[in-house]
Amino acid sequence: MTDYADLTKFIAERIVSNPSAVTVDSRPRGRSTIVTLHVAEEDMGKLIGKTGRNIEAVRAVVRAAGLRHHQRVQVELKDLR
Amino acid sequence: MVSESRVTSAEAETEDGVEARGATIEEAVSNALSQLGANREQVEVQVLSPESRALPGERLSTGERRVRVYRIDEHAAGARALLEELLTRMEVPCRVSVRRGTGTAGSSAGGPIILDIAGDDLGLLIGWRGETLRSLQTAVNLMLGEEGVETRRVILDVERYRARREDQVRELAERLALRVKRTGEPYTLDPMHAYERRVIHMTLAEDPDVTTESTGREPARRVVINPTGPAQGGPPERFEGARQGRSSGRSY
Repeated sequence: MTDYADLTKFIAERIVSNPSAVTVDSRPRGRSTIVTLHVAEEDMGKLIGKTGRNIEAVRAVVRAAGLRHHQRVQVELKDLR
Repeated sequence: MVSESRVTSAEAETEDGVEARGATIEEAVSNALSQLGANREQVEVQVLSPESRALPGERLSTGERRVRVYRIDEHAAGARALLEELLTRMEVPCRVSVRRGTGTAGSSAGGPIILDIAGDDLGLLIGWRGETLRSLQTAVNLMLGEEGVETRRVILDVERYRARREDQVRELAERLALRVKRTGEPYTLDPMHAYERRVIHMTLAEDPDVTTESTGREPARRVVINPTGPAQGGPPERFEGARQGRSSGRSY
């Protein structure tokens, strides 16, 4: 079984400038798996990207991994403010 | 891994890499690598006589595995390794290869690196109209951290999905251009992605009888094909009314 939190962390760590500040957490919600992603505040912009393009790409990749197991996986970016 | 005694004389170095033989693919690759003085990460292997082509139960003669091994540049090698690791973590069994003719042979100028993903049942990597494939590409480029460096961009393709889709869009453009010439009326296509619109513009750029332009806002930006002269008449195109890709209905 794919560890979605690990996968999300693997991707996020390579995008941000402060990889040691990346933390992830996953929990089930109904029939979905929710992965909560947390990054350093200064990396939020990079991770989200213009009009959310970057975070949407990360979400789509993790979602595709879930599709293999017929599971719904949602990545939520934890807002610090 | 390299069995010295089996190195055959049938190795040939060309500017397109080296061709080598061995009793197994593994051995053929080893032979080629020692000839190139490269390691496995620095090359792209093309199997010329795949073991999988052997029929079940067929006795394979030894020394018949042939491979061609090309040196790839450092950046392409790094991009491939990253994509392979990502796909392994996604548990998608597949092979990643560097497409020939782009950024290979240690060309310093380079162009975008095209990585081909091959395997069974990779629809989930493509997604609806290639959405997932584009996302995967965005993610990989971000992870490589080469944002804005155009020539070092990585383009992903799955089982030549992109190439096939490009052909479809090109055919569509040509068919609709005929229609516009016949009717003398502009034709507005369904909304498309920027790179697909670009294919339409490029396909019809040389046609003096039509002009193309994009109108509207993303994500509903569309290409309009305009006639430059009056209706030319003639019989309707044979494929008129064929649907545009997977979208339903025609847009006017």
